[in-house]
Amino acid sequence: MYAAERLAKIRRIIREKKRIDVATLSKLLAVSEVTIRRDLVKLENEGYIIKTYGGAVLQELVDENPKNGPAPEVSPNDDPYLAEKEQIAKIAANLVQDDQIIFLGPGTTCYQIAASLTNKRNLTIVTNNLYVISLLQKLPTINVIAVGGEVNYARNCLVGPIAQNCLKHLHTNISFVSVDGINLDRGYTLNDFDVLDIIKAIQLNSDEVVLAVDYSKFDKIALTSIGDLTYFKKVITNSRIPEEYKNYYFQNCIGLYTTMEIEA
Amino acid sequence: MVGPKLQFVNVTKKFGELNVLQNINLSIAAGSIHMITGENGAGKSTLAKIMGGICQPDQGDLFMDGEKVRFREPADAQAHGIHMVHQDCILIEQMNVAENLFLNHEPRLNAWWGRYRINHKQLYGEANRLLSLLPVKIDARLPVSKLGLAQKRLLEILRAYYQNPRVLILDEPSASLNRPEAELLYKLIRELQQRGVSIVYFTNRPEEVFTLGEQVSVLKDGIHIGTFPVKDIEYNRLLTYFAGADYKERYPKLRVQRGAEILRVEELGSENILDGISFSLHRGEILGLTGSAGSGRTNLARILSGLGKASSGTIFLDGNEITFRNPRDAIRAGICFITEDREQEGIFPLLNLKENITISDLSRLWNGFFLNRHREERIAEFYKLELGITKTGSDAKAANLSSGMKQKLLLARWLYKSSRIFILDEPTKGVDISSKIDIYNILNELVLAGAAVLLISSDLKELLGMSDRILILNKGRLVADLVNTPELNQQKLLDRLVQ
Repeated sequence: MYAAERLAKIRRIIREKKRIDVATLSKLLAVSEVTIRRDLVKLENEGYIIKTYGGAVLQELVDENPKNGPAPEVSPNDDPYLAEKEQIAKIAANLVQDDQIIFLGPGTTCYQIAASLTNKRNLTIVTNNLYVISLLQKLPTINVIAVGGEVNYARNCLVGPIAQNCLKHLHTNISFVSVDGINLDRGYTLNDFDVLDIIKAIQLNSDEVVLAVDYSKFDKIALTSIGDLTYFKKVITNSRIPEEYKNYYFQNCIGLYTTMEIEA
Repeated sequence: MVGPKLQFVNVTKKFGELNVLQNINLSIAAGSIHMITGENGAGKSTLAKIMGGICQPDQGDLFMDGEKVRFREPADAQAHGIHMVHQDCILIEQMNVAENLFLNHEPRLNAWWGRYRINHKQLYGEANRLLSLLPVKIDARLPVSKLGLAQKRLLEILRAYYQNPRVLILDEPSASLNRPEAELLYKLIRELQQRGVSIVYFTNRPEEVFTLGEQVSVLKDGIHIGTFPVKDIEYNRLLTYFAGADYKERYPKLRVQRGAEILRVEELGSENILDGISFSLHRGEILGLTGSAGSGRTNLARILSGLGKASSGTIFLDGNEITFRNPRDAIRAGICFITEDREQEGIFPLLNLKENITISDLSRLWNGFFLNRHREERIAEFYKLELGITKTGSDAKAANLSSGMKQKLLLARWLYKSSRIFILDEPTKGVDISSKIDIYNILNELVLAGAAVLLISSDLKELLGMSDRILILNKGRLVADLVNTPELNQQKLLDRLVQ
């Protein structure tokens, strides 16, 4: 492959992905990391990208303001917080060890987590998330256990007494769930009673329940409360959440994992 | 003259919701050396500041010789003969020793017109008289910038002594000094006590209590645990006051697959300080390093980053033997050192944010004739957003940032340079909680990208929370290389620290 051709390919990939790391580029283009780094220097000189630690980010992304407004339940591929969720998923994947049994709850963040678990060995994933089930169909290396139950089409997940009953019989090592609102006074809140029941059921039979939410859920209050901010012992989110929450979590011994990301 | 008796009665201080000091009842005998100790965050510095008039208590009173006193500002405390020497050095580097000693109190030629002119003869005469108290010789005409940290500390204490204090408050004066240097400090302090000054000495190092103190008060989580005569308290008992809950869960630890060995040190020694240090550092690993005053940990960091010289031993990088003639060699090899002394050795206070970041690699901005300022702006903007550095523009001077922001700025500088080995000396000292969490998560990000981190800290909880392995230095020797298992706790580390 000629250098110019490779550069064009890298440009296209970065335009599509917005940000990418050297290792992935090197795999995609089948050239060494050194070559990729050299190419990235060229692209940075052109003003097309900014080199980051171990990768690159599209320059435009630094200029653009991210979209604001509430996040309606959308299909995973046109999510306005896609980049944030992908980064959360990357951290979540690092909390999972080979051979574990994990639970993924409803929501697109959990979908992204499923997508980032591809290089783990011998995982068993328990889920009520229909997006996750259809995604894992393409990954035959992972054992999938889907819970039964009523279909909640708005959330694209399985809920209700059948789902809860099913979860009662399963034990998981680590579970990932999301909520709709996080507020210092009102704690964690959800818009959906069905989902609340699922989270309560999973708390009983999981060694560890991790909250994975993007920053847009902070300082919001939804319909029904599940517990105060000490309800989950680990939280993964984006670093731009308000400082008060960082202080609160640290003082209350909750591990707070944040991602580096672009901020407005 | 013997210093006064000092008493705290029911002193409480809050910062926001946080109770920093709760109902402190404490009395300090006249003419003694009184140690106040406790782990980081126990409330020591706040208590020192209340004594020195820098902070006011929310409740409670301070008594001197039985009389109630109220300090609204440091000058009030000084009027009562209480002088404080701060943790951070506040000497003026460009002026010489004598000028610093008498700053704002210079002897004048006479009471008339001459009062606008400094009597230099008297200045140096007085300076030499004061300097003769020191256990080492310091030339009165030497610029302060030429002095080492220990000498600066001595000078600051001497400067406070010149004000004729009745009580001298020392807030962790031996911080970052090695053993022989700290000994000099102790000599001076004993000398001043002989001359009738009461000494209140704040320290987070239990071993210092036994070297220097007569009385010791222990603080823990803002509560006064007790005051004991030093000769009656056992070492182990004092240690139990230090070790508390470990709080490992509050640290965002990621267990990253350990990669290839990147750095190995064999039998490293440096004159009088380090002796036979061997360890290795792998990609994807956070290696904790701790040690008390004089353990040589900063010395080790400086050797690894090309700032100091080893007298024996070898350093291997990616399996190849390497020597650093200067910091530039180390930087080229991908090693960066972020110093504990952010103010003096870290940031460039007069440069703006973007210049402070890009200075580590200007070649990325160089177009052959000029620096591409537009690109510099973009790069700075990226890191500001990425690390949450500040809401202000990238033209702001670095000097005006908070400690946490300065630390993140230094990290940004070396991320930009794509360093592979990060040597961080006390990266979260004096940093607010929110920035602390950001820094821990930046460490995660680094190891995920295959970098290696040497995390030097005296915060044992932090080391237990974030490290994969922990090294302990004691008097220049490596006494432990421990895998950070869930069973490892502060008590076990402390036992090794002071054996």
